[in-house]
Amino acid sequence: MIPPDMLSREGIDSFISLLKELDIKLVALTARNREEIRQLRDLARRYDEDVDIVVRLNISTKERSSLLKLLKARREVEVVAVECLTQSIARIAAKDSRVDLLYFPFKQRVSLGATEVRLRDDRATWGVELRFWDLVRCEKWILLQRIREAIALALSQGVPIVLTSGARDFLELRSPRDMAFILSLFDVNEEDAIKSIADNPFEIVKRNREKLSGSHVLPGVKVVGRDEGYEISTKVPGIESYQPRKIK
Amino acid sequence: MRSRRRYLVLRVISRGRLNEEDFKALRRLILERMLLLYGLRGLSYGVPRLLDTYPERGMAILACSNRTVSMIRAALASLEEFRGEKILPYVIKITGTYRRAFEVLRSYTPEDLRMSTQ
Repeated sequence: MIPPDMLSREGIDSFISLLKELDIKLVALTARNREEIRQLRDLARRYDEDVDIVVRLNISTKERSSLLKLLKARREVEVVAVECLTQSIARIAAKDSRVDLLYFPFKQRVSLGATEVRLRDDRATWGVELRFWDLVRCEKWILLQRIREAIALALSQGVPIVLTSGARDFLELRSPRDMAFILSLFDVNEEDAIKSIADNPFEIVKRNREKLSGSHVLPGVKVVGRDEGYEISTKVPGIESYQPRKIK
Repeated sequence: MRSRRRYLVLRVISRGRLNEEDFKALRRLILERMLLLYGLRGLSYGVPRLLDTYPERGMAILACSNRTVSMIRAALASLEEFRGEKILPYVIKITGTYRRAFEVLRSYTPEDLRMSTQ
């Protein structure tokens, strides 16, 4: 996560070199409003060949109305993250399918439990974001307990964890593999730790790119072609006797 | 169970150039960080040793037990500052022999990083 104000024209090249050096394959540039989204999208398009750059919208608000207003920009960015500053914001964001990541500032006393997640069998449409520097720079020891509880709840409920650097400076970036090992302190096994830096973030971006491409209709339904006939290769049981419901 | 030795080729990016003494101090810092994160139990698996440095490129070779590799990597990533300056340490390669680690150290050509953004 790199805030846009640090990306001067001269710094871009060294930034890209550094990402390659650290073996970072995906980087999310953070925007806080629509103007920043536009600027970062231009930038991402220019440098997309070297490293996969996505634009993410960070929503940090305590008001429901401004949360819903900012969520209207969903189709302009690849990732939408909501900072859960209050319990009600956490609950609204967790129920909204436009949200990809929930970030809990552990100082705020809002935890993942506030979202009332009861997923277990169902798959979560959003993930919990953990910022590496939050874990390392934990000012109060009591916060460590909250982080541990949030991670345990997320893992038990099948909510994907996404570990980000939360960097505000080039020198705060870290190699993803090195970062993942910090999760072992919170009893996360190596497989889940690697997923949190590789599979989970890539899956979110892949899913959203598919949605933004225009072929997405519903979860599990997408347009594969237009104005052409298709042969059904596999027989769907009961398809011949299917009668559409009459709408009264 | 007998632990195997691993060699970590690491690089430290900083605004100033590091010398050999700095790398020794950095090793001490890694140990302190390991103690903070993993306690005495973590350190009991073995402490890393500084074998070789290449200050011109900000690179060094650390030898450690295979059980402590993940701890060292976590400790290394969590290092934020060194002598009041921000640093970016990272592991380039982990090898099973010193010879291979030295080859990596000698042949590695890092991307030209111009840290002139601030």
